[in-house]
Amino acid sequence: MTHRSVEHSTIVLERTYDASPARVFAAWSDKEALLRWGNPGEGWVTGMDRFDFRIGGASSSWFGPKDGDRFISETHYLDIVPGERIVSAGAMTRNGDFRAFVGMLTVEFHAVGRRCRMVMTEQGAFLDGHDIPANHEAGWNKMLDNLGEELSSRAAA
Amino acid sequence: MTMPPTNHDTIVLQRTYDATAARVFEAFASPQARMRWGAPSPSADIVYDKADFRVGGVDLSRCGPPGHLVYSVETRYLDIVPQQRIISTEVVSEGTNRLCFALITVEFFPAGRDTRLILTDQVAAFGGRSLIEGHRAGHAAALENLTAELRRLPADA
Repeated sequence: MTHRSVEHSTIVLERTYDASPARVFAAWSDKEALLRWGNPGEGWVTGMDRFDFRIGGASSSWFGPKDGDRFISETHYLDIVPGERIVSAGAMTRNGDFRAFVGMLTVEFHAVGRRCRMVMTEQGAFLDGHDIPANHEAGWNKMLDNLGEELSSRAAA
Repeated sequence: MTMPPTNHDTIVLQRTYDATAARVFEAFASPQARMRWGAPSPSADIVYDKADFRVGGVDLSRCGPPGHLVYSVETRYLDIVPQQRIISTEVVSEGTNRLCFALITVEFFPAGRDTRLILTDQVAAFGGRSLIEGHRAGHAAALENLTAELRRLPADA
C-alpha cells in the first residue's frame, strides 16, 4: 500500500543574462531552444512530443538518464505576457506509473539596462516520496546555466 | 513598461470536521455540494458552469455578490487520491484580467471519528498583496461553510 505524503516547496532562482527580456522570453517559448537548454546534462536524454505555447495550450516532454527511468512532464500554460511573464502548471510522472510532482512555475523577465533579470519561482508539491525539492533545484540551476550559454552562443554579431 | 510586483506566498489552513474522510472528500468532489459551501464569503454565491472532477478535468465557475458573479475561476485537477487528497490549479479572473494563480492541495487525515483537513494554497498574485489576502480569506470562509454543509446530511451510523 502506498504511503501517501505531500511535501510543499517554493524554489526561487534568479539569473541576469546579457540579453534583452524579449530574447530570454523567446528562449522559453521556442521548442528547439527549449530542447537545447532544457537538457539536464551529460548522460541525460530529453524530447518533446507536443508543444503548444499559448494560454490554455499544453506541452508534453520527457527526460531521463540515458538507460534509465523516463520522467514525463505535462505542462499547461496559465498566463503568457510576451517578454514579461509566463505562468504554467505541470505534472511529472515516473515511467507513466507514479505521479511524482505537481507544481506551478512563474518566470518573470525584467529589463535591467540592456540586460534581463530573470526570476523563476517553482511552487511545488512533491508526492509520496517519489521526488524531492533538492533534485529540482539542482536540475533548474543546471538548465538556467545552459540557458546562459544558449543566449551567448546565439547572440547577434 | 513596468509590471506590478509579482507576489508569491504559501497559505496553510487547517480544520477538523466531525465527519469521515469519505464524507468530507465527497463534499469537495460534488459540484452541487460546492455550490452550497464553496463561495469565498458568507455573502457571495458560486455557480458551476462546467464540472469535471477527475485528473485532467477542468471546472469553470463564477462567484461574487449574488447577481454579480464577476469573478470567473478555472480549476484544473492535477492529482486526486480518493478520500486522501486533491491537488488542483486555480486561475481567478475578472473579465479578461487574470488576477491570480494558485496550486491548491487539500489533504484529508482521519482523526478518530473526525477528519483533519489541511489546505495548502501556493499562490502567485499579480497586482498587489491584497489579492493574496483575498485568497486566504476566501478559502477560510469556504472551510467555515463546510462545517454547516457536513451537518446538513445525516451523520454516518
